[in-house]
Amino acid sequence: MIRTRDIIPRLKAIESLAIIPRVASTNLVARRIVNECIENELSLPQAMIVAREQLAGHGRNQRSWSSPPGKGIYATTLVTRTADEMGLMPLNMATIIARYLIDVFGVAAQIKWPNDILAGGRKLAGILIEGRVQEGRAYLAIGTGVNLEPVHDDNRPNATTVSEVASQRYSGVDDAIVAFIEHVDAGLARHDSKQKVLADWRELTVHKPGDAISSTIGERTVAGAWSRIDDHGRAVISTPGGEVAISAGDLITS
Amino acid sequence: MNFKEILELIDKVADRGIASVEVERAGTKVRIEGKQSQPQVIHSYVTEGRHEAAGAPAPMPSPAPAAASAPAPAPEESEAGLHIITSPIVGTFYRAANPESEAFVNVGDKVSKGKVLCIIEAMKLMNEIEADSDGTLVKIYPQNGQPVEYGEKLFAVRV
Repeated sequence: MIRTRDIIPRLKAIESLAIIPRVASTNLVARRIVNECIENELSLPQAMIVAREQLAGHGRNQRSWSSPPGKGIYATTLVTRTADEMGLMPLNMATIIARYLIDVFGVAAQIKWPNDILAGGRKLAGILIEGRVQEGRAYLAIGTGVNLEPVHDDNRPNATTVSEVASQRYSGVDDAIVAFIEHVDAGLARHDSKQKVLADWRELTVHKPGDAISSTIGERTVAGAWSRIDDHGRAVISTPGGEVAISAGDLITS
Repeated sequence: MNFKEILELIDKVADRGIASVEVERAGTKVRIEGKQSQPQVIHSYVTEGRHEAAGAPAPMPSPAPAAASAPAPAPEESEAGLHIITSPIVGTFYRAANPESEAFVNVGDKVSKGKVLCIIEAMKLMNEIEADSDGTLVKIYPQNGQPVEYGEKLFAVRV
């Protein structure tokens, strides 16, 4: 049992918190709030929506995100930033989630570009952000999924869970959710500078210079060696034809 | 040439009993024929031109442009009178919410302020770009899936 009224006073950035038993998708709920606020010219609440279960959780390109009850954290955080600050939010959120997993559970979490969180090379958490920009203000719905416990008949060979990799430091879903809320809140309240976000991300990434890597966007594939992220957060891949900066697409490591 | 100027032109044609007049300005051609006291706008169109990439070159090679299916009669580009919507971020341009969905908009569509026109993805941030005024969409600059730079032109809207 999580008592939101006990948590709220401890938070600095998040003003409202909703823990809902079951939704289609927390991002969907959040987007409705964003649209309502924009259409009615209301300020967006800095809020977090946490679901115990999602019926239609999804990631990039509408890929399904398994969200059975009591097996993970399914949350969307509503945040307002300037349009200039928005660009690095995917990397910023990745560093916040990776630090949460490291600090709370002692997991050796690493970031795969741009913001998949891995442990032992297997996916532990994912982030998908949906945003709208109005007159220089970015209204962001930051969706986060964290795998906490194994799912029966799980058919995700490249996924892992906190309970599997955290040994004795994992004490259940409710404690994990409360710690998640507090860590995300603290991370957003810090309002890290661009330089800090990039430095943190570089420290936590799984990629090493020279690693074989390829990226596919639609029908185009770029293959080469990992070089770095640039100041926009783009993945820079060294290819025989020169360096190529990637801003979207699936990154495949070998 | 904006709508108000066209209306003024119609009034002049009607007032002076001119048989017909054709005006081309900034890529917009309007022909008005006066018949008795009721002039009509017979035809107006925007001449479509080739797009030259703005700003710094995109880091990733852009796909080859599709062959033109219907060459425009007057290929000289002009954007005077058009409202240009630019990209607020560096990212990848998508015309639909996902590969299975229909495009948000097509050339010729009426758009209203707040209508989502496209998504620019940057590092799994799906950024919905919306119309900031009412009008008619007359041009879509990037190809679907093409990288775009900050400030690069996305759409031209006749307001």
